[in-house]
Amino acid sequence: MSKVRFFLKRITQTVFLLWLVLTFLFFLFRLMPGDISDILLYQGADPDTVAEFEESWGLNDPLYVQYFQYIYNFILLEPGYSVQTNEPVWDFVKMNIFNTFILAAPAITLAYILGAVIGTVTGTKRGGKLEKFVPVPLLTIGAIPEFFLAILMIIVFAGFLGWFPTSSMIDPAVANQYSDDPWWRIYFTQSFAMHFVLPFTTVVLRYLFLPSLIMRTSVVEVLGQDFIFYKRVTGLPKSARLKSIAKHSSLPVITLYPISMARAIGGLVLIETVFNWPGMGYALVQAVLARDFATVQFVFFVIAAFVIVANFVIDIFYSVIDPRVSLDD
Amino acid sequence: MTSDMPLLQVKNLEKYYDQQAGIVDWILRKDSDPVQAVDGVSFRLDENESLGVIGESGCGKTTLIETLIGLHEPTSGEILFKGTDVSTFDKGDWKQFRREVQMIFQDPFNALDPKLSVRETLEEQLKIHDIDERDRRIRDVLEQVELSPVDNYLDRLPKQLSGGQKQRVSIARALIVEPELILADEPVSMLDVSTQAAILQLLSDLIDDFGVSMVYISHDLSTVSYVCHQLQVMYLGRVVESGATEVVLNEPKHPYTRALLSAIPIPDSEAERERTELPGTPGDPINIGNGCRFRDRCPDRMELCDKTPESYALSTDHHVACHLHSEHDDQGDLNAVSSSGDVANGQSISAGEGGDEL
Amino acid sequence: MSDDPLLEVENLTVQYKTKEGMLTAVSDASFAVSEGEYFGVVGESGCGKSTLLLSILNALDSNGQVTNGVIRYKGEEIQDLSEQELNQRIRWKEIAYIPQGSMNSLDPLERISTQAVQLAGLHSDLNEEEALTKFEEMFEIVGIDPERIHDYPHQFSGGMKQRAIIALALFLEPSLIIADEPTTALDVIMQDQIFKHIDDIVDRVGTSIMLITHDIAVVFESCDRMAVMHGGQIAEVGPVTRIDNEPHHPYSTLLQEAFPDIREPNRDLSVIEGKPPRQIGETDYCTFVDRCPWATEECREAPPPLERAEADRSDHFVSCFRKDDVREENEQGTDDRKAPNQKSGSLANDE
Repeated sequence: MSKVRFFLKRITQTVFLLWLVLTFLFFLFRLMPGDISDILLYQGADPDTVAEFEESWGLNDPLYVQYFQYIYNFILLEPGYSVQTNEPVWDFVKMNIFNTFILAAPAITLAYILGAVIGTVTGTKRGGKLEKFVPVPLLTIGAIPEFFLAILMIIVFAGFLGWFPTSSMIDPAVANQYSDDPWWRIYFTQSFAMHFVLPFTTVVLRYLFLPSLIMRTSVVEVLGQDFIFYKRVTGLPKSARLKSIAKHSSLPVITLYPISMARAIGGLVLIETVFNWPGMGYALVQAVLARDFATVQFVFFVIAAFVIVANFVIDIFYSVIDPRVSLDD
Repeated sequence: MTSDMPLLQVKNLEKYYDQQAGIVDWILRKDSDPVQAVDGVSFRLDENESLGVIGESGCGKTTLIETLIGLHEPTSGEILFKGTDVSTFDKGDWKQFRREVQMIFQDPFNALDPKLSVRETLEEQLKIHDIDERDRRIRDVLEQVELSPVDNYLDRLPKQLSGGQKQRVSIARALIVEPELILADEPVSMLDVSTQAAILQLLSDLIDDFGVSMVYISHDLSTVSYVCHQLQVMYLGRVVESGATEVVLNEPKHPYTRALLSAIPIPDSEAERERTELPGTPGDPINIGNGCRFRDRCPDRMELCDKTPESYALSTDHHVACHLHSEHDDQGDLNAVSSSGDVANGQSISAGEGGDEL
Repeated sequence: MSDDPLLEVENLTVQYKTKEGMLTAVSDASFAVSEGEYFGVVGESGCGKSTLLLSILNALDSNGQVTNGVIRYKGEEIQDLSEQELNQRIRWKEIAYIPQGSMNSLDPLERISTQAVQLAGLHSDLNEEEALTKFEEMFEIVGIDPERIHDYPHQFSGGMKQRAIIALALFLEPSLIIADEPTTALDVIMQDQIFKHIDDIVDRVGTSIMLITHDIAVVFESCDRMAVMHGGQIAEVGPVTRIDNEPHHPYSTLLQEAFPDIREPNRDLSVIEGKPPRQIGETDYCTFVDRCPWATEECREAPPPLERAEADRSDHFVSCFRKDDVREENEQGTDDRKAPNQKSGSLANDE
């Protein structure tokens, strides 16, 4: 019963939050200074053109009609037309969203897995060499602004060493070669893999410190818990105890995972720009420059929605591994 | 002093908490039942008097003390300090109140700021209340709590003090602003038995020699006799028995008080104590309706117990809220104490809950 | 029952490595617990009773070690056994433990039955079904509805968790259960119920119990024999009736006088000034010397040996240079103190 209640509650909250974000974005873009037609056409366009424009874009409808239309369109994944290309925004950005996810999701996931291992090792061997020498470089790298880290990576590995290409996602020649194949074909080329390494490594390095340090603190804390001592005295072998320690200490790390993921997706704007990676951030920058507000709005929403949904998923996951969660609501 | 006005008078105090309502409840418009943490508590405390509030964890004694000190707004009822209802206090009155009413906490290990020396801890308190002659006062108060020679202690940090010494500093901090009322929350429960006696003695001296009144909260009946003149035994938010300390300890009338007393181990290898036989644990005071709150665990449960017991006066000094002690049912109302105003000076009485009856 | 004690601690010294040097937590402690005996260890915080218990469980922190003496269990020295040997032969099969922090001693992510089945798999031949049946019986003994073995710890109240922990300790029928302040953080009524269950265990199951506590009243009421500890040293060991009625060590005497007794709410309580010392290096004096009203220079020069309290008694030992003087003074005081005890006998059972 209480589990059902818990799910129900979390779903309600999630839907409510998504609606709140949508509403906020709707009013945010309508409150922006300047007339929309001025922004989207050009300043001083003749009144007939403006009238026609406003008519075709539904700008003359009452605000609430616009609002409901907007919500309705979003639910159907039809968030309007891009003024850059006159294509529907969804068609325009879906590949960019995908490109961002194939960069961020594996990179953050790897950073968290590596971080959990580093954290466990440094946490269980307190006072050891590792504990002394690992956190500082991790923190240093984590403290470097991501665009700067990206530039450093390019200078060292693409410039000096020449191991990897400097930018973009794939060699245009290779892309052309596969232009008649299904869209996913290019992701299985050597050219893509070579282009992938530097931005991927940059994201992993940039986000490694957080899970490592949190995991370490968490392991140290769990080691001091009564139930771990109790397990030892009951004669549970070390391997079984380690398993339990890992399970308990990963809880806070799991909580952070979607937060890092969301931050990475937002933060990729800079890394994508430096690497010329055709992802969401890249699209966002282009859209902002072109005042393509339908695209901007949608990308904002995707980022926010990702955070909200990720948190929902983690909460559900949490309630499965931690029996206390659903009852303590 | 024997003026008619009590220092602190509490009339029918109630403190209910709302349970946290979730968004689902909100949508379904479901009202949750409040937690009846303190439910109809009344007493009066005169100058130079000390009142012990006894009960297990969850009985509402901590909520009571927090409400008394103004941390919570009472749900209903009155708290009169020197005859004035605290709900009418303005900012200045509260400031005055916060000086005259001081608290001593259970955990001396966390009640002191670890970065402040003894002198700084006490000085801070004087600064807050804008009191001069700080050095003299600090020395005097440390003598008073028997931390002497004073110079040995002035510059020590809490970590350089033992548990008992820390609790003395806590007491000094309360005492230095010359309060009229001290609220003490289990001040000896975390101390070793070797220092417990000294702290009890100190607290008792404060009342007898320095004119301080005290509300003393404890779950342990074995030490209250050293500090308290009066006792109130609480169970799930209500007072079940009250009276002079010796009377309650020697002639406990409420089955709960008896259980509490009989559960205390006796330091005698030859004593044959019968262990208390009380099933279950106290629940939560949520949606428990009418009737005696102890009835589910009570060895003497009767049919009558589904009706909320009045507080019966066994003597001017002893009240019990239990149907066992109504002479018989019809006369219950005659014996019951209905309000707190008409009781002889210095007696604390427990709640009359007329409104609760069907 | 054989004459050999179940657990024998001999000249045990336990030290912790600290920045200031070796901190001695237990110094030259000796005592024995026989089969089926209910043995109490009493002392204040800092007296070394927790370290003593940890060393018997072989679970000292990594900076702590037994630097001298032996711990014998059923005649075998166990202080140097490897973790593996302990896990296979001693832990839970032979020596079980009831921890102080029982509120947090059960893994919150696992059902209590899962934890029990795991233990049965490690230390017994029981299969899962047998283990569950047996664990249900244990729940019955400690007064919890057997169906609740599958609950998670957070579904239990504090008292129930403590009883579940006792059930786990009993589960594999160990010969010795070590209980460390099993009722701190519990209310008096719950405390009384818990001790009732522990008493039952001694009576019905015949397990030996070593109870570590600060509460001398609990030990006087329940235990057969006891040790009083102060500052890492054993002050006195003997039958509880002896230590209650004829304490020879000043600390035993004062501790009793400091303890409140509900039957005599107005008795003066004695205060023991100071606290046990923090001992860096070997303890070469009596650690009670600075708190002791009977202390002389002699007490600072060497640690007092644990000797027979009276030449004709082989079950009562005390470590005090001045035990005879203390005894003499007590003899006079005791009579006055004991008299009112009998009068106000059973206050709680009045009526």
